[in-house]
Amino acid sequence: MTRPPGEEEDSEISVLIKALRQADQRLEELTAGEVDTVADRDGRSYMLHRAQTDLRFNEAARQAAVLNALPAQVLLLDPNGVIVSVNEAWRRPTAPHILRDSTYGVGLNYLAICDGASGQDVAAAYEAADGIRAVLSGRSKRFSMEYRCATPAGGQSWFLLTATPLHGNRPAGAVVMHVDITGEKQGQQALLRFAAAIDATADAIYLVDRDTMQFVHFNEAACQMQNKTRAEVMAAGPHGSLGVPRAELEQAYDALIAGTGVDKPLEVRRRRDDGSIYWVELRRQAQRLGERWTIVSLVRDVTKRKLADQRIVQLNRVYAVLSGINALIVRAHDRAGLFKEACRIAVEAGGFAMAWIGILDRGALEVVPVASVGASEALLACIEQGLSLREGSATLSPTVRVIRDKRPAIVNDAQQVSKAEHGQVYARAGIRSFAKFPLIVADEAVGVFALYAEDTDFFHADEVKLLTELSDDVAFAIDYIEKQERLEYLAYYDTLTGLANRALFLDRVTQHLRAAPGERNRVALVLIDLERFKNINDTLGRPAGDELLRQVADWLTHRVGDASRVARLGADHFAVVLPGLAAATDLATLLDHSLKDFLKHPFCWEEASYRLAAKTGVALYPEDGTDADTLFRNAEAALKKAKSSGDQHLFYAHTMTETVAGRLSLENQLRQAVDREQFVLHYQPKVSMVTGELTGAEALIRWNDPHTGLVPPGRFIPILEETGLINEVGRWALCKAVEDHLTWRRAGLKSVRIAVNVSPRQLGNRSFVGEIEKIIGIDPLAGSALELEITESLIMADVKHSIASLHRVRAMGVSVAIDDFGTGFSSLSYLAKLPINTLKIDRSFVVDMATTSEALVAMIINLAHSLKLKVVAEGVETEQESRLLRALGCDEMQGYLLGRPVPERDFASRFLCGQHRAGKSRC
Amino acid sequence: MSAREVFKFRLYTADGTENSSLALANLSALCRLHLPGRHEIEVVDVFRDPSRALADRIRMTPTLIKLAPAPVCRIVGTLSQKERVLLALGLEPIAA
Repeated sequence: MTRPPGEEEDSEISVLIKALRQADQRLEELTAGEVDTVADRDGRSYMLHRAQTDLRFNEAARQAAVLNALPAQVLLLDPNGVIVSVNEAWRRPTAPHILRDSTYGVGLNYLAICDGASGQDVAAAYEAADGIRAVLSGRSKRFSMEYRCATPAGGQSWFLLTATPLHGNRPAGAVVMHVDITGEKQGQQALLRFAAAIDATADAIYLVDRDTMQFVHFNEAACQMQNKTRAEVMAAGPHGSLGVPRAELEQAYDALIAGTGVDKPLEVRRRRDDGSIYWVELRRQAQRLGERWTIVSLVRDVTKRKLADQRIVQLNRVYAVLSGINALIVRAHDRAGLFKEACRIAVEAGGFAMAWIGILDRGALEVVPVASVGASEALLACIEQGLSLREGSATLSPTVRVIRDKRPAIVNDAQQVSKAEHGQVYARAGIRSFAKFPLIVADEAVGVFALYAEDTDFFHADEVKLLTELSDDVAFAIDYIEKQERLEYLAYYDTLTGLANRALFLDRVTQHLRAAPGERNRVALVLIDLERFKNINDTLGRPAGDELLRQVADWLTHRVGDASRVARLGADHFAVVLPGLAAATDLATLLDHSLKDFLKHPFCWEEASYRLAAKTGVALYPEDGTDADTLFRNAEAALKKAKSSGDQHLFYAHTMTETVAGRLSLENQLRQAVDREQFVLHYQPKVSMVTGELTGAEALIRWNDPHTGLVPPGRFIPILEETGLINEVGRWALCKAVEDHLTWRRAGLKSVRIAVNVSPRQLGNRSFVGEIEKIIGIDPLAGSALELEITESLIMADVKHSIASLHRVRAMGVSVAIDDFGTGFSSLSYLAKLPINTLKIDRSFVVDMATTSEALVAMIINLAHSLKLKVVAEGVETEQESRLLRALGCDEMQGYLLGRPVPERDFASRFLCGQHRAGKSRC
Repeated sequence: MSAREVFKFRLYTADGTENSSLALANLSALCRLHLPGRHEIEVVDVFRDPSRALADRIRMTPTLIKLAPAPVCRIVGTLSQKERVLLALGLEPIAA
């Protein structure tokens, strides 16, 4: 307006205002004060006066409140740059500055102030003026700049100046704001300086944002320490790099933030991806950067220091093993104990994961593990693959190299060993290094001591030196124990023959006695004295005597079959222990045979052979003593007696000697009887029950002892059976029977079949049938001369073999009878299949027939007849028996009623000349 | 009246004025109490959007239009008299 309003206008305005006020009041009344605006038909809204006043007041108050609450200093500029409003922060007399002064109030042109700046701040002031102009003119939507100014205290403050237009579309002024960013600025700068500094240090430094749990920064050393690229470290993140769960790390960080902000240094063992181990010292610090917490981790590689510490620990471990093993060597008395203990000490005192000792078997050319501690089976199996020294074994294993080169083999990274699968086995067993040391005795590698550690690079020069010493000590102990064993050998063994000496022998006898409880398990202690051996020494000289003694030792060992049962007690004095004997008579036979064989055995010296004789004395457990000393004493007594008597061997107990002696002399005599043909056959007649005519004869063997006369078969047949002489005697009997028959035939006498008994041993002999064939082969009529009598139980013992043999015998014309029928347990089904001609009813049935067994005899007879067999009753002694048997339909009989067995000559004259009837035979 | 029906309101206001603010506050309270989970409120400032006010023939603010459910009804004022508002909207007052 160029001129002041006139009075007319004034009054007109007054009228209009009055009209407006009235209209407004009316509207308020109409709307009950509940509306703020009304609109006309065109949609133009008019705000009611009260609402306008409220709104203005509220809006201004709100804006002022907002502006005043800001810590930033705010100016509102009009389009020309004139200050139209400032907030409280601006008015506060803080740091005055060319761009920001509490005295610059409403009405001043801020652009002019900036343009007029001088001094240090001129550049910033110009920059600000340009930027604000650009915003005011609409050329720019926003302007911001940072500037620095001196604080009254002499420090520096940083500000951020921003200018934003007041309205989006049409330039209507601008808001200019100064924000104090000194704190942030300092933080940033500190960070920059920090970043520069940390890259220059050798320690790994990580900055972790607590909120994101990601690295904000880490230095080059961090990458190097982990042996990873920057990208890999970043990808792994803080918990990945540490190898701990994220939650755990978050907890640690929060504790750090909640606490003093500084952690105590930690030492941590870390493993790189390639498996290598390193030690770090970890220090953490929590720092606040703006609103966020940053964790600064400082990680120092202390591997070297740690390794040095560890080396000391390792060396101490090795020293502990060394001293343990030295103590062991003093007290170890046997090799097995030494080896096991050495391994145990290595594992327990030395902390080795595993230890084993192998001894070289020079025969098999391989190392045999003899002791191990801490080894898994998989590992042992893996180790055992590399123990053979034979050529052609694939690559040389460390063990083999150790033996060959007599030098230790050290592998400080077991998982890199040549064979990949071994590496895996080691990895599974947690083994990272191992060393093998030769055990050298008398300049020869006799074995290997192997030690396995859980750390890589365990075996350094110092350890190797100590462990080599240790292995030498173990080798020394082996040598010592071997010498000790040799001494013990001398103490327990006879050096000439290598047999046990008296002390060891008695010890062994004691062991046998302990192991032999019960009557059935007899133990015999036999002392042997070589007769007249002194003569040999005297005539042939000592070397010959020694050689012969060695041969005697060999002979005895071979005979007994076990060197540990034989001993040499004196010059020509041996002993044998025989455990597990069932009966003394067995022993007597054994001794007798052995002594005879001994007598026959040619012992040689310089191409000449010598026979040696021996006498023995025997004591038996438990009869002659229950302890080794008593047995030994009694055996010595028996031997003494034997030496002064004519006996080859004597038992301590007289009865035993006598029984055994009687039996032995009988046996010897029987052998002579065979040689000298002292056996004879007696014949007993068999007659027909119907006609009373002679139908056959049973041959019964007798021994005609020139000293005692005829010996009954019960006394000598069992011995013939036991000794096997029965084969020879049986064969003789068969021959003799055939011969007698043929003689009778040739003499024109009645030639009846002769029944000969066959013993179990004969029938069991595979050549039996062949022998029969040979015997009857001498004459075409010889087959009809023989009948074989075989006991029922004997046939049943091996039915199939028996049936086969008997078929062949029958095919030769020889007949077969079953002897003693009714006493065994014949299977009727087999009886029908047996190729037999005759059943002989046992004497016991005949004797009891009158009282109890008549029905049984009747049944046997019927059975035999139904199988088309002839029935012969044995042992018929009375007329009554004879009558009964005839009534029952028995075919033939034999027994004293008809005649006792008589010599061949008598038999021929009594029964074969002319006709004989049963009734007359008694005359 | 189905309990599932959603009430759609449009409130015409003059931004920042006392009665308009009061009306919005009253409407919001009413909806929270009587129509929980089944109401929509659209606020239209007659100064910013005069064309819509014209289209809806709004002569005064605050004016509430109930768009759904039918029938459409409009209420002018601060909505301070609760019973009358409920009645106009077809809602039962809740016994205290």
